[in-house]
Amino acid sequence: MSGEAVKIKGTREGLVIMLDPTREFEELKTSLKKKMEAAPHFFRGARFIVYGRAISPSQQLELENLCRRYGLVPAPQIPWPPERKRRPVPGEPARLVYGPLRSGQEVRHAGHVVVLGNVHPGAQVVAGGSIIIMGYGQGSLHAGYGGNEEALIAAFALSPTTLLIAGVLADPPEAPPATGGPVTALLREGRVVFLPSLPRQKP
Amino acid sequence: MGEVIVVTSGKGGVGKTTTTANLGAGLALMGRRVALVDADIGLRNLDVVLGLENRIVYDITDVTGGHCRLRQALIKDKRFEGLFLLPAAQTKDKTAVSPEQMKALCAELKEEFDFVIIDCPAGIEQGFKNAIAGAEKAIVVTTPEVAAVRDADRVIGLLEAAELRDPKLIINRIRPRMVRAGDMMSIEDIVDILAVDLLGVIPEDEMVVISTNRGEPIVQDEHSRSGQAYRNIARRILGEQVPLMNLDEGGFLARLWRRMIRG
Repeated sequence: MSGEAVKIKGTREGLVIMLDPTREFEELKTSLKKKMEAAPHFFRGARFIVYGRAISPSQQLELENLCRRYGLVPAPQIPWPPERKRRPVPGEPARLVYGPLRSGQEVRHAGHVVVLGNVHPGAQVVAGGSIIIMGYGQGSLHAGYGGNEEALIAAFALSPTTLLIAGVLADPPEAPPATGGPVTALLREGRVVFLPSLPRQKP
Repeated sequence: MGEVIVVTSGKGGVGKTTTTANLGAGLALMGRRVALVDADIGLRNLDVVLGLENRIVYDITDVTGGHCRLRQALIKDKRFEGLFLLPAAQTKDKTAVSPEQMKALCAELKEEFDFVIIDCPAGIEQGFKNAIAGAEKAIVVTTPEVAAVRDADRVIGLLEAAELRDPKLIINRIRPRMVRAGDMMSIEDIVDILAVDLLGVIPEDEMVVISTNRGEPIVQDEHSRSGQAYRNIARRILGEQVPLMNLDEGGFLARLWRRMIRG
């Protein structure tokens, strides 16, 4: 069998005595004792925990007592296994809506809304987060419903009947002409402004 | 087994009834058996436009209510071989018929006819729901006005929600000179907005007013441009590839000439 039956790992909080779950208990015990004998004074005073899923509480106690004899101090508060830091997944969830949204149709969602297609006059989109329209944004658009001032509205072209971000009404509601590309509406100093592109990062 | 087509628009006054009458007559002229159903209960017009008002004995509610057989209520149009009308009731309202009854009625009619064309009432309430209940296909009529196009958009959404996918569009009463001057929405504008297939375009034509008042469908008028447009649409419904007609009215002389041959 490859590897050692017992490994001792140093962490910031103390030592972690890791047991190979595939080994018999006697083998673990022998292996641990051998490690302690090899440097009888080295571990004195060190805080430790025994970590191994395959042993019973009484077996665990037996191993701890073995370590005590070599001057180690049990410290069950050592966090092990360490909580894996979740790597943040880029992006945020959104509701995908297939367009066109026609007059009289309404989408309400607490998060972001992405519309694949045009939003026609008379249609309504109300989102707690941002609204992204892969088409013309007409109709009534309200992003940041409930007060999210970071919400934005982006579309290939924007000429809505009404446009609100976090309850702030854009007046006039449409983007200045001649942008000729995607346009973004967002809040700046309490007013809705239109940018002739998509924002590169979260405002 | 025939096809059940509903003619609808949302907005009133855009030409649903005129379109229903002319498509029915046009398809009958091309040898098809056609039943026209007036679903505008309480505000019936299709019989007037077809000139069949004085031949009504039974109406659609008599059929659904079991007071007569379907065959007894169908009025045969003597001018057009194969054209029949099931008139609406005038003394009742939209609740007089249920969607289930409409479905059963359409199923019965399409056994006997090549086309069943339903004239839908304006609006999106019970009458609309009844009219589309038994339909398999839909034709949406609009005029080049913002309000009519808005309503058409709403209706297309409702049709799609009712599983009537890919409705076809008829643009009625277009005035090419106003379009050229930029005073009226163009065909392209409307098709862009509504994002549905175009079935045909009817030019504005005073003769339509005269023909509907007389109860004679314009589709039989060989010299009228709107009649030609309706004949083209009928051919497209039959699966022919017919290009859109040139909507240019021509100059003064061309108009004078058309007026003269009309007599």
